[in-house]
Amino acid sequence: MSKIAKLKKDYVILLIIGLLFAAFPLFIKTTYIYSFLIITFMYAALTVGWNIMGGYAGYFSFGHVAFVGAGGYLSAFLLLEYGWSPFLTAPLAGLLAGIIALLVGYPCLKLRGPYFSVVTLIVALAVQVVVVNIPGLDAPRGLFLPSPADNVLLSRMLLYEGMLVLLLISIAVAMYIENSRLGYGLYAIREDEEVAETQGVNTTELKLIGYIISAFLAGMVGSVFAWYQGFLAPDPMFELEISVLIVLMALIGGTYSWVGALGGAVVISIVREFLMIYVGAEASHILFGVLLIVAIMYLPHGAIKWAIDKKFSKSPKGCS
Amino acid sequence: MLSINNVSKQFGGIKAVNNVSFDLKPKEITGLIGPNGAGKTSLFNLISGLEHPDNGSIHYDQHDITHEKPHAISRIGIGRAFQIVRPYLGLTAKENLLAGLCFSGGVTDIKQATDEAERILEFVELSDKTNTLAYDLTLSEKKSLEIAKALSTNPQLLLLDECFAGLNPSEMSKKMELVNRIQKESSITILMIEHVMKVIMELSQRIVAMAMGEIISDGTPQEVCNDENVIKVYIGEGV
Repeated sequence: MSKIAKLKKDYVILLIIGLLFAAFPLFIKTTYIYSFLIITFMYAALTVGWNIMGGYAGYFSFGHVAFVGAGGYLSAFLLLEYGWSPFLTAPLAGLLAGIIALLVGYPCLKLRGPYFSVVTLIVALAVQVVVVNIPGLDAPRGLFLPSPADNVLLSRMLLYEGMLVLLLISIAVAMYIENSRLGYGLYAIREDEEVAETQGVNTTELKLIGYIISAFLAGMVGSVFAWYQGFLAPDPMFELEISVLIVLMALIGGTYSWVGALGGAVVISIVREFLMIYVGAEASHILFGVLLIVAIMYLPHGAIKWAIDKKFSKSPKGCS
Repeated sequence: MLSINNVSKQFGGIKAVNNVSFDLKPKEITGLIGPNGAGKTSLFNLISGLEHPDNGSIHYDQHDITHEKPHAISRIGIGRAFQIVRPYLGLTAKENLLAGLCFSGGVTDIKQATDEAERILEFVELSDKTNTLAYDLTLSEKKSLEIAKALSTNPQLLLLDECFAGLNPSEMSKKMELVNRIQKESSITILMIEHVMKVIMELSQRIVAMAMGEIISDGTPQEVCNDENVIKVYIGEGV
């Protein structure tokens, strides 16, 4: 089967799985489940999107929350001011995130490795400061957003469907990129940027495109996340933990493909939920810190890839 | 073809390339020799755009590429294989060629690029390794992959930087045969840096010798080998 046909088949499978998930509200009527799934899908969508830059191109952004926050605040503003549904303004939120990525990325993508990561971290803080100080938005006092529906369960169900759609879009985009010209350009950049240049890859342009796509997806997620929060305060919307968790999820799952990113996000979300319930928030933070260190030290290509290599081990080197 | 005019490049106090000029004739194999530190690889970096000269100009066909970016130079037809092999270690041999094919080789469709990648790998005799990670290839195979990667950009001029270093005699004769085939079948112009004299004498129609950043001799292999300047640089002066 040709790769194109295979890709089409993959999209059909994705659509079918998506429809199955979309049918959940017909059977499950528990609010809690939807809260959990919304957050899980949110992290999954963010991680799969982050991975376009972090995994394919090897540029680790530690400030991805900037795009979530900026997108979320834009949608919240449009909802309060004009009554526009965040479901409809999500692409606008993505656009704003994309513009920020363009402005930040153009100068910063010249930096490599840890330098880039540190700058993205600072940018996230800077974006938060800007949002907090926009006159008229009144962000520091917090914004109350009207729910999607009067009934709490119905609200959650709607937000769940919205987040599901964003996750499916993220996966579809990642799937497309993995088998595209853009994807192979990004892989080349990850492996050896200088060689990629001599192979005709316009690395500056490609990194910027990758970063903008990655940010766009995060911005869209931000708009639904903001609506889910209901009460919008700068701290949770720009929570550093979100940025860190995304990186952790991608590293645990594996950065070479969207499958790893998705797997990592789902597994960590479940573990996190258990820890929150049975161990408490503080201890779970410490545990995640340790987990991140272990993941970076021992599983540079992710647990899923590690497990595959272990099972079908061809070389003792694991992979490279 | 390629025309280098009075090109100089200085790193700190060291003149790596000093006032170098030469032209390449189409479809010829030209050897570039010289002791370590002569400026050969620096010159390659200037041609492929990884560095830009302080003075002088470099022209390729009608284009002034003196200050062009590497990707633009690759796209107009100059391919490069690196001295220290630099494959994309985390990708398979086939995947290693896809970026070059898509971005510089004029292929737009991934399917077509994959077919073309397989054809190139067959040409460099790596067809049994298409799905092997570059990491797992031997040095000789990595060097072949390096050449394949340069070919993937569909070059008219190929810069080969010490493709023969570190190979055993049988691997070496295979590589020589490969370079010959590239030139004959694809009529590509080749500029190659090489230390192995047997290789350079057999393959090249012309040799340019460098030392201390300058060209000290330029001519047929026989002429250059008998040039006193060249002998002096390699062997040293009699006491």
